[in-house]
Amino acid sequence: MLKKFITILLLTTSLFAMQKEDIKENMSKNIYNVLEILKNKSLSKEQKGKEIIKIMDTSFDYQIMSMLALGSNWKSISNEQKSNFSKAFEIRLKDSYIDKLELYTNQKMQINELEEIKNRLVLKTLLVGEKENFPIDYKFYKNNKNNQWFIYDVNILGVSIIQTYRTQFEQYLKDKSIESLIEYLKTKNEV
Amino acid sequence: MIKKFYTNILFKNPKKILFLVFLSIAFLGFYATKLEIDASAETLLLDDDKDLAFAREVSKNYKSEDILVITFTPKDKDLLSNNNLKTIKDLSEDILKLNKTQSIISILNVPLFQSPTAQLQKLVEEVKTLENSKDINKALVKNEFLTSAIYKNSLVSNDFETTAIIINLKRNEQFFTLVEKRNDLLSKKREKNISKDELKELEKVTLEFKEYRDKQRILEHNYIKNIRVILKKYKNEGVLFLGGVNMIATDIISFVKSDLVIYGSTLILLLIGILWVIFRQIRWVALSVLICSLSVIATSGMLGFFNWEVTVISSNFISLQLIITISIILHLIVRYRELTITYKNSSHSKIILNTMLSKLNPSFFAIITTIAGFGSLLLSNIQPVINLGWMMSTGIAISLIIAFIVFPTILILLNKVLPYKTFENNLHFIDYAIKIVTSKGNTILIGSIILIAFALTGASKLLVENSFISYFKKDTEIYKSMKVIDQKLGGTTPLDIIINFNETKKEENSKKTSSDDILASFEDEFNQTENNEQYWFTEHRMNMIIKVHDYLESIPQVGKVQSLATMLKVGKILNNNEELDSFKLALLYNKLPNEYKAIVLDPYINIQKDQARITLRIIDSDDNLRRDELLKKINYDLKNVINDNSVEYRLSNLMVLYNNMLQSLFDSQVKTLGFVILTLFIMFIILFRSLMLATIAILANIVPISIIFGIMGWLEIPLDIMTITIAAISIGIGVDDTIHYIHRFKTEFKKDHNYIEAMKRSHKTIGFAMVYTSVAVMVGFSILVLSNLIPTIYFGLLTVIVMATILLSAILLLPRLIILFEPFSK
Repeated sequence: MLKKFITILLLTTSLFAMQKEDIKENMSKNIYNVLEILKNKSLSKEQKGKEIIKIMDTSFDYQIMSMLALGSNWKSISNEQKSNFSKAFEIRLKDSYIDKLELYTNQKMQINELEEIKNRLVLKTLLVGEKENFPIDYKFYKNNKNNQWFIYDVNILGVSIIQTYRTQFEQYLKDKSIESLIEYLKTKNEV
Repeated sequence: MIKKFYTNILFKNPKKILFLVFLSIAFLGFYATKLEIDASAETLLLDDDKDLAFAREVSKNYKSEDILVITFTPKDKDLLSNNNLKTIKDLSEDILKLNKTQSIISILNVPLFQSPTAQLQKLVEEVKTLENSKDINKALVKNEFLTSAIYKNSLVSNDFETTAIIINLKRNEQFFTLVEKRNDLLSKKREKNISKDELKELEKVTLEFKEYRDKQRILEHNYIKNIRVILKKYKNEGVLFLGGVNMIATDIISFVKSDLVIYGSTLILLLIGILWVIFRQIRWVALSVLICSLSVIATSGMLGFFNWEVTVISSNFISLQLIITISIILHLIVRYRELTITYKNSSHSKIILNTMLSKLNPSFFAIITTIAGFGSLLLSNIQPVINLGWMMSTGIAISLIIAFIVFPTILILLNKVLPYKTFENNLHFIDYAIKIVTSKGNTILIGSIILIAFALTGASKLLVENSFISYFKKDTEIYKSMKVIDQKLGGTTPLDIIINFNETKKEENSKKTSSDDILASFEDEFNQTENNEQYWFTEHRMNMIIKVHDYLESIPQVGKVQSLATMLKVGKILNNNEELDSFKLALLYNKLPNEYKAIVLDPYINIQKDQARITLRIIDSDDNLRRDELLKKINYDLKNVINDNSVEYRLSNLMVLYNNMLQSLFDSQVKTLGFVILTLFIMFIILFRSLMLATIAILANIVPISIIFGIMGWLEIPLDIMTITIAAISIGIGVDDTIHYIHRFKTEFKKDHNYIEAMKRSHKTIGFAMVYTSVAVMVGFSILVLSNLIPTIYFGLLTVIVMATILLSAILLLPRLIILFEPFSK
């Protein structure tokens, strides 16, 4: 068991995106590792965050996430703006992800089924607490260029991270420019 | 015709006539038992005020419940001592047993977030309260109550000596359904597109609404009585007051009732005294009391019959009616006595007939002018003032008819007696007046000019600031509880700011994009959920709410401000002093138990309507408060604070409605007074057939009336719904003197065409009647000083002063002007 586990651990680090049939297994490993880091009292919040991002990074498609967060506004901006925005947004996402880690208080993790909805996959997981459970859903889409599956959104307790940003950005861009949104994200990231 | 009526019918069948009169009044008397009193806040508001409709809508959308507040200041000043907590607990349990209580909020059961500061996710799991945690640190609790945006300055006072216990009353769904139904139909009626069936429906609903409301009122009255009984039980534990809109309404109703009873009975006794002093003959006292009683019963019956309700303003209708009726009777008595002395040998019926016929014209005009005075109130924009106008106009007309039927009928049944003139012979006032008019004419004119100057300077200082608290005497429960809530627990008069974000997108068909577009394949998925409630908490909206909240808190006259920002501020503290981002807010929204949503979200946001509500209380007793200016300032400043054209905002609630009422006071005052003066002028022209005489008569009334504005301006007595009626009512009553005097002067002048002699003779005859009636009226109005309501007291005092001035004017200025301008043709 332990042997198997170590080999898997070694493998995961070199893992990029996933094939459909590997998703559940790989994610289980990743999540297990993330929990180990979270439980590690000797690390600060920031250190934990860095470690965790290392583990999860490759499963996320930040480019798509940036597109989705901007919604219909994405089409109307220049390529340079797209890349600037994506950079800023990626940092923002990671930061807020780390910020949310404190919601974790020693719960156990339970990985449920991988569901197929239209042409997307949703991996349903559950943080099992003493009093109640927190559902966390990882949503995957298939990138047709390399036939790999990537995470494009995460739902925590039914709240979609991307949807939250979409609504915000849409309101922001109603009367402000994309440039100022990029600036705004950058200042937020520096805090 | 009138003469025929008296000689052929009335003098021949006096008993039958009396029987008929009594019968019809008995019939009306039955309806008098249906007389209703209405003291709801609605009576002070304009029926078709658009702000009122909006305020009702807000109340519906945000499920604002009716509340009562108990303020508790324990003896030992330590709110958190076990003994005091037990008192609050026992008291709450007692009140919860009453059937109208929905729930009770007190320091015992509000959620504690910072005792000690919990982590956000812990909060979601369990919420601490003083009641449910055994080993809580009271020092931390005290600190939380004093510093938390939620509780400071509202649940506990800043000196931590007083706390509020809030009673939520069960919402009256049926009441609101009925109000809505009624108002829908009413607005249709107003826009004149109402069908016959709907009109019937409206009648039905109005009736239903009234019945239901009356039932509720009794229940509410008993409920409040029961709460007071419970409070008595705990009076040894500290000072307890009951406050809240419902309790104010209930108390005002009992004030109005006691006012009605006190005025009615005291006034009758006083009038009996006056009549006895003047006439020394039982018949005049008895006759007057009979006619007054019949008139009041008949009028009350009419009000009951037409469903006109007595409000705070019309609570003195009985006294007004008695006063006016007595003045009609006094003129008749004085004339009758004069005729019995002059024509000692005439038959009784002839004297009576002469009395009636000679007084018919001036009395009729005197009453018509008084009706004009009251009728002018119909032009004000304020419902209860309009109702008072209707009531009194009807009442006075009734008095005139009854007096002119009952007075001669009763006298014809009695034998002729000679009057005692002792009082007249000892009254030197008239002789002094004659002296002044003849020898000090210029002094009268200079005095009048000084009076006008005093009035004009005063009028420029008139205020319409009315603090609600100053309507009540300092020893009333209302006053005390309002003062505590106002000054220690965050203010009283509620004001809402409603913000419409207009952000929520309507379901629009997402444009078909080419399928190879990777974005398009996701758009559907996200478009479906983007209007989900949890995503409403965007930074854009939250910042807007916080900005508006903070701006409002910075205004000195604003007490407690509550909105979603209150929770955001507490949330920030719990979130290691970082703002809660939209994602966390969405999480909280999903996890927050419904019972807490009802407390922290429902009153402040309406996601379906994409709306937020910031509710605040104004410190009503602040002397520097200028309501209209404050609302204008808030309206103006908010534009800059919000600084976003797509966001709309609107002010609402009682503060706005009350201010609308105050602002219409000036307008109503000008309209009513203008109408009265114009109408009287036209009537004088008709009555005296002389422009000059009409001008003199109007002048003799305008000068004394103006004293009100002088006094109110200089003494800083504000215009309010009571005081704006003084001018019109006084002029309506006071003008009677002018009419009677000029009428008499004309008659006397015909005898020798000598102005001075005619004046002397008029003074010696009608002068007495004028003095008697004015004294009776003044005594009558002075009764109002016994009222529980401060505006009524002002009303009484000011009217007494005006009446005295009008009498002086009629007996000094009027004759002086007649002598000066010589309006009669020789």
